[in-house]
Amino acid sequence: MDIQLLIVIAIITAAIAYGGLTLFRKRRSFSTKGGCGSDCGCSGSSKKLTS
Amino acid sequence: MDGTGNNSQLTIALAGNPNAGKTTLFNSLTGLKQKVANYPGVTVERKEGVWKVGDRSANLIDLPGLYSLDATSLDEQIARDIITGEQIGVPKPDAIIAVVDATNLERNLYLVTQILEYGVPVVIALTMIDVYEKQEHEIDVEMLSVLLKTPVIAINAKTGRGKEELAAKVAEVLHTKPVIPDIFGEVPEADGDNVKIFARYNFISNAVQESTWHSDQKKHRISDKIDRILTHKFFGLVILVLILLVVFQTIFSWSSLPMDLLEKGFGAIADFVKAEMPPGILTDLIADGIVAGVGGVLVFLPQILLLFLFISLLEDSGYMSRAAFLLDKLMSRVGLHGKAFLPLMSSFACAIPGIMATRTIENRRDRFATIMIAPFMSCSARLPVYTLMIASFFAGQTIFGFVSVGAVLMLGMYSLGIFAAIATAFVLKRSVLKAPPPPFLMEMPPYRMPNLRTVLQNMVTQAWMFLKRAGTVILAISIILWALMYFPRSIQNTEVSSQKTEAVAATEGDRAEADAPPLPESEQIKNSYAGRLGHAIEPVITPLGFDWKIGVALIASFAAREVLVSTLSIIYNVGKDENEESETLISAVRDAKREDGKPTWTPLTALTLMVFFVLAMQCMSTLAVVRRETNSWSWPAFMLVYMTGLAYVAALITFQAGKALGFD
Repeated sequence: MDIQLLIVIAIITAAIAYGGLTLFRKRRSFSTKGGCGSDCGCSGSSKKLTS
Repeated sequence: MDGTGNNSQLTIALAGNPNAGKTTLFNSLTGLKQKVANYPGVTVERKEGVWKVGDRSANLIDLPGLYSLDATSLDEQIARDIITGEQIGVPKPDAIIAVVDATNLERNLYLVTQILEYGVPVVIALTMIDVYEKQEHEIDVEMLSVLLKTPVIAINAKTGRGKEELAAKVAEVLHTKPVIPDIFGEVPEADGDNVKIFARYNFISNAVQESTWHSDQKKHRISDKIDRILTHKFFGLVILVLILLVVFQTIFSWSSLPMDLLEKGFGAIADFVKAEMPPGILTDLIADGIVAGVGGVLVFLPQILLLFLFISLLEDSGYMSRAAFLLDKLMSRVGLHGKAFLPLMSSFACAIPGIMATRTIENRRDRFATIMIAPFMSCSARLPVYTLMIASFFAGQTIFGFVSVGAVLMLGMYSLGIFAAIATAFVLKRSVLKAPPPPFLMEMPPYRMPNLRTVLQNMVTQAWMFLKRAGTVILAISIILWALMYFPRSIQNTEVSSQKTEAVAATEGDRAEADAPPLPESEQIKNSYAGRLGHAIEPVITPLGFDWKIGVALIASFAAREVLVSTLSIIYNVGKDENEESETLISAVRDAKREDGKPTWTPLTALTLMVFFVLAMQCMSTLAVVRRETNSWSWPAFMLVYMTGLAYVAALITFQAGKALGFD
């Protein structure tokens, strides 16, 4: 296997890993609401609107 | 810490009405760069920074704007909870800086009278004093301080006036107990809210009358005069359309030179790579994948910078609120809350902050209706797609000899998004999100000269976001797409070659297979993974006038809209045969041919693609934010289906109607 092909495989693997990691991070933001608790007041621990 | 003398970090909150100048003051005190604009409601999340108060360090919290502590919306609730120390995870402030806009003293002081009752030391930072003085009014700051029984410091965040005095005064009040002015006097505790509101305004009115002078009552303010024209129900709209046309026309004319230079620059880099590196797969990846993919998107940086230059100028001058006023009547007719304007306006940059800005809307149904339509606003990621199509097929064309067709088309695409949003809101507000629109009072900030620093800051922030995206997400997607368009290679070569050379192989053995010439690149890409995927969806997109290559770009653009441009750039580079000359993406798009020899693109195809991009939901990050903000899977799923369905139908109508009229 020539050196160019090896480097290309490494670059493509890195790109796929980065894409996977980004998707994983997105999945977390899709699934949780706790992250915004102290900011937007909409988490379970926040109080209900009073009026 | 609360003034007990230890050195732990202080907590100081900046509170005040929307558009009072809190974020400008926050940036000035902390050296941070939060977004600032001349319209209410820019801050919807709590922002924090470090500020030096005397010899101590303070955690400065920039709260969302609020008119009172009654807290009827989410952002007002956060602000109130922090001021009262009821927000989980945030210590009660050691002091509050009440930011008060001098040009709206009475309304701004209403909130201050409420804050004072919580027993936290308060210092009033009086902003916009320069504007107030220009309006030929005078204010006795010391007198106001005496009457309110609270320190008042005149501040100019732009020049730095009063910053040191403010820090000194905050350090001084940390050890004191605030004096609560006698606002209610003889009003019994049992009396209703209206009586208390009246008592507050009565107290404020007396304080303001005693501490201010108005030297020329006869003169009309310049803002009022300008507003008579700019908010006129007919001329106002005409002026709005003209301003937008000028903006788009300027974007096209000013950006053409830097865009050409960038395009030639990236072409030269690709040629350099091919000339200097040994031929092979790595050279192909760098030249046709990375440089073509990332460079294809980066050439649109001048347009992005110019777009945000104009948006910042319009925001900072105060014109955006007038545009909001003009559209408010239309928005309220379809049942949208007046507060929906700001989130929709923010969505022209990106739908994500726009959707987060809907937190200012109290009613859940009104809020969800705004979230559902925010992605229809043409965000900056669509700009490269519009520009590529316009530059390829409508460049240099004019109407009446001076109005650029490109600017008209761009205005048309932005208007189509607004129209689709309003029509969708009309349907939603009369079906699943039925609710009466609440009354809304819109604040008109005075006109002012745009602040150069704020404008440049907004441009730099947006440019950085664009470059960061190109260097990370677009780069990764470009590499993956290149691989999908490049492979399988040897297997396909062997298979096809063996079919072609079957007769030869029978006589010359295996040597013929090894010596068989490789397939041309245009055939190679057709048999690639991406090519197969493109061909698989071709029956669905053929009625829209798109071929399989556009289909591949469309699929890729569901990760991020601007990926369409990088995908087309890679497709036309990877699929270029050896005897074809190197060319720019625009000329590659113009010259692209279908298998039957007909042009792939026509002006009608370009228009159809633009219509699809205005309406389709092609942004994973937006769906993620909708999921978070609605706390439901149904709403993002609904958004994806109805927007993309609408995009398909609208694109189908555009293409088929255009074809029937003979435009194909």
